[in-house]
Amino acid sequence: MPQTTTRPGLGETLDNQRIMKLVEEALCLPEEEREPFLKQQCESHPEDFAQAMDYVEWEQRMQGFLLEPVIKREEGEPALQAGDLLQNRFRIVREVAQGGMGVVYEAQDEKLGRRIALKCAKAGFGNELPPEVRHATEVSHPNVCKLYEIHTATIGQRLVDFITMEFLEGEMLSTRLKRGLIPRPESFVIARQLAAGVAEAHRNGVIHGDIKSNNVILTKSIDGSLRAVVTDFGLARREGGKSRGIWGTPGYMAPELWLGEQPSVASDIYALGVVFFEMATGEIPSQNETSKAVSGSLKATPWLEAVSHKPPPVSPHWDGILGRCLDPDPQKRYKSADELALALTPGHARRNTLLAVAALTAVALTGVITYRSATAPTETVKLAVVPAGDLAGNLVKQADKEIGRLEGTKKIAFELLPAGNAAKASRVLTVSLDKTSGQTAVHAVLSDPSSQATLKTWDARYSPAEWKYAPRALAGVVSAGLHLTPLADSQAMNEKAQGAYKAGTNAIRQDSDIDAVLRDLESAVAADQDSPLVFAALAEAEWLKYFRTNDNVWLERARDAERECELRYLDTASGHRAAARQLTLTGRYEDAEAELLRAVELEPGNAENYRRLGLIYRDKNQVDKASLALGKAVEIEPDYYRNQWSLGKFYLDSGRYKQAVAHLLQTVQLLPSASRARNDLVAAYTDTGQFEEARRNLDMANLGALGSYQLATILMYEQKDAEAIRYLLDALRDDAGDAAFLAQLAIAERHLGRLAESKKTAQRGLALVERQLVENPRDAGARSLLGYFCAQLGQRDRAQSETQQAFQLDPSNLNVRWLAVATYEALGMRADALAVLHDAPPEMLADLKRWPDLADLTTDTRFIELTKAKAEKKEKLP
Amino acid sequence: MKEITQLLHEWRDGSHEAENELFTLVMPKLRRLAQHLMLGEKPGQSIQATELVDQVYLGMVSAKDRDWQNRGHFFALAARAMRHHLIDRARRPHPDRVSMETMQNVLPSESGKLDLAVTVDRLLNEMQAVKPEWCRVVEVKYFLGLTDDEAAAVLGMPLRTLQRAWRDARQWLFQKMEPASAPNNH
Repeated sequence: MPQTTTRPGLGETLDNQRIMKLVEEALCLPEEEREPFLKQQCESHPEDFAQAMDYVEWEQRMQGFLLEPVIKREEGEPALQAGDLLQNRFRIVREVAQGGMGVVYEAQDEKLGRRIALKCAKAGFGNELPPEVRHATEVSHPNVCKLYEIHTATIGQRLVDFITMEFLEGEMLSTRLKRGLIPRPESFVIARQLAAGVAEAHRNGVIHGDIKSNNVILTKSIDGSLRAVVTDFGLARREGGKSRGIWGTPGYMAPELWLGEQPSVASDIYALGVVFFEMATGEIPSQNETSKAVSGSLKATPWLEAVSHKPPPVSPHWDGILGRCLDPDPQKRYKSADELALALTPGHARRNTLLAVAALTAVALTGVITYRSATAPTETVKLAVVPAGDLAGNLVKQADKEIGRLEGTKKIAFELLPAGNAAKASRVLTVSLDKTSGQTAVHAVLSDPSSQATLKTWDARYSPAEWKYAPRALAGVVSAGLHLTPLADSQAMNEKAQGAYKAGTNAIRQDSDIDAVLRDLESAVAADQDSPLVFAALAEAEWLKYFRTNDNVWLERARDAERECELRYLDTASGHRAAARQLTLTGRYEDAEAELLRAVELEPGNAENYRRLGLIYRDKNQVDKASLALGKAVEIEPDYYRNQWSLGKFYLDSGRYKQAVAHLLQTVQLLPSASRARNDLVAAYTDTGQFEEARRNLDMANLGALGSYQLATILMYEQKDAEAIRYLLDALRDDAGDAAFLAQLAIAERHLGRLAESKKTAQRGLALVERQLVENPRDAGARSLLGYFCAQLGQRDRAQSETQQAFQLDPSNLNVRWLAVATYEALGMRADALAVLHDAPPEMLADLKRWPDLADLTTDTRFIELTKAKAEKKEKLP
Repeated sequence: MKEITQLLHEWRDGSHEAENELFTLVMPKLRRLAQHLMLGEKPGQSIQATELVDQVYLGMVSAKDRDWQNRGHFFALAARAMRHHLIDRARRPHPDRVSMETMQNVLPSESGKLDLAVTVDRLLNEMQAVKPEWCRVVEVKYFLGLTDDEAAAVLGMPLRTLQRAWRDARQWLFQKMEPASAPNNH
């Protein structure tokens, strides 16, 4: 039977406050950091530590027990995705936030060329927006998020309302407060701005109804000063039709709202008071226990009593204001938000404000004041297009028409100078033509005339049939080179092609049958010869086919498709990705990076851009950047197996085996048929010593060369060399060209005392890598194997020199490092082996410890000390 | 038929008959909520549990009678009703029309959740004797799915106090269940 809750005493309430907050914060940290964090936080209240730590430990034990309720909380799926185009005008860039009422997206208004925020009603919330929202669009004030328009669109099969509004670059007040309190002068400024904004809305008859720190965004004005903006106006209330009941955010709701009264000016002011309280103290007013007579009309309840009291004293500056905002009697609060704003204005400014307020009120009665809040861009680029040589004149004239359509972004304004004004240009595009053997070659250079620096060079050959694309293609060079907004029609595709294009691009992501994908995309190309996007997609597919078959025909085709894409318009995200692939294959990493950075600029919400960027950084050995970029891809899209795979492999290669396991496990869970990812997972498990799990992921019926090798490796960790040999021989039968198999075999044979055989294997291995190095002298892995085999065969000097060379070729390669250790050990050069390990990742040392062949090394006290030193270093990190 | 507010008071004071009468009154209106049990709503009709319960509350309790306290009680009642409804259906193999759909849609992974709910229900009866204040917390959090903020508001306690009670209650239940090996939520 239910019983009334016993009210905790004040002391207990404050205890709960402190301890639960600590526990919450601690649980946000990684496990190993929790105890130190709590120790540090509890310095002023040492008795809290034990309790907080106890809760944290319990939570770790319980692992989410009962946190999933029996009744599913309906989340609803986001209806829109990056790249979607609404009403042929709004292109979704990414999801920005999930509010209670709907999802907010960043979008590009392609008609007006500006960045906007777009808010849909959450699927299922009746899909209707309340009528007051129409009033809300008339509110124009720097501290109110500007609503632009209300639209209706069909998404899927539903008719949905959505609104477009000002895009605010900044953070929520609540987020900012998590980092610490805002200094008082600043918080007063924010408070005044909020009050002013709310006042303007009230003047227009709009009540907010859900003011809270999550609905306040802190941004900057053009001049760099702080601008606080209230968002979600007029969306909170619903009218006409079913009452929504008592609605609002509990901590911000005025007492009368709990009794079922409608939101009003007074309840908005109350909510503002709560926000101010939050700014002043860091938390919303807690239910305090000071007993006081409650107004007769309100019935006494534990909660209501608490909420009915004045807030606890905060500071002399705030108390008066908070007292009047948070008065339980709505009649006693400030009569208007203007009055509140006035109270927040410093004395000397007040006189002027009084007059201003009077003036505003007067005007408001007659009409609406509009503030032009256009944010001026920070840079203006003036471009002149200049023909070099007589042939180019015509092309430049046509190109000017296309380039003239280009629009700037929020940061960059763009102006195309008429011919002859080139002297005033800050950027110049020089275009020259050359007609050879029936084709026309275009050479374009985008440069900065003042510094003579070349920003971008572009070369293309057009057949007569394709010549019509050339002017627009030049616009592509400009939009990419100057970081402008690409031409909207570069993304166009006729309806016939769209179906096949979508099908093909979706199928590529799923690792589906590549021939089916090719068929789809080829038919897309056939249906729309003009779209650069179909060619970019086709190029991707053809590259994949090349990687699968190693047949150069496909490489050629992919290159051609990529070229066709560029001929039409190179400044599309998929076009840049295709170009990056092309450049990577020819080792031009810097240029590939630039292409992908532009792709990120165009499509910041597409994980694939970051993933590819990460792979480039990995190839360039920029480990930190690689980690960030690959991590970002996973952050944006954790459910796509490739993102997890790339990150997992990266961790595997950089010796973070535990993290590798986590992501590779995700990979195979997301796509169980990804057999190569499974092999990577086996490797990661093996490297962390989890041999059972490694075994479990091997498909015993279908091992293949790699699988056999991996199983043999596991067996050798377990000192079952005889069994291992059997699998190594299987592996070699399937793939005689992998020298690593031979290295392992030589070790196993040596362990079993079959020394003559071991030597023969080493000789075989040596011959093999020598041949491989003739073809590819920069193969660091092969070179380190060469050093190893030489050591096995007693060729000391050669062993040392090859190993050193391998190290210089690729110092971050852990296989090279491992082999170097093994080589120096074989040569009896313990000190050198240890030197190699000095910079090795700690997990690699743990792995070495498990490897029987190096037991002598890993039991050496110097090795043990090195391991300890690395562990201590890790602990010291914050 | 007694007035609902009267029944809520009596229920609060411990009357079993009041509870039964309330269930009879309230369950049909909470049917939509019951459809949420373990399955989530059919697409296109999503509505949060709190809204649903609120709507029923406002429909059943006249404005002059509404106060904060009985709204809290109403929510507690709804949570308990959900709890009973679920356990009822889990035990009886021949459910009525509503839960026929429910049972048919219970996937293999869902039956584990059902088992857990049944166990929690049994343990709540034990908990009622020792820590009655925790029972309501578990009901609104676990059976009704309210967020911490909503639960605190509904039960009339400060947020942190609720959070502590919820953690304590979970620990108590977890310990009781441990020998049977803790559930693994992956």
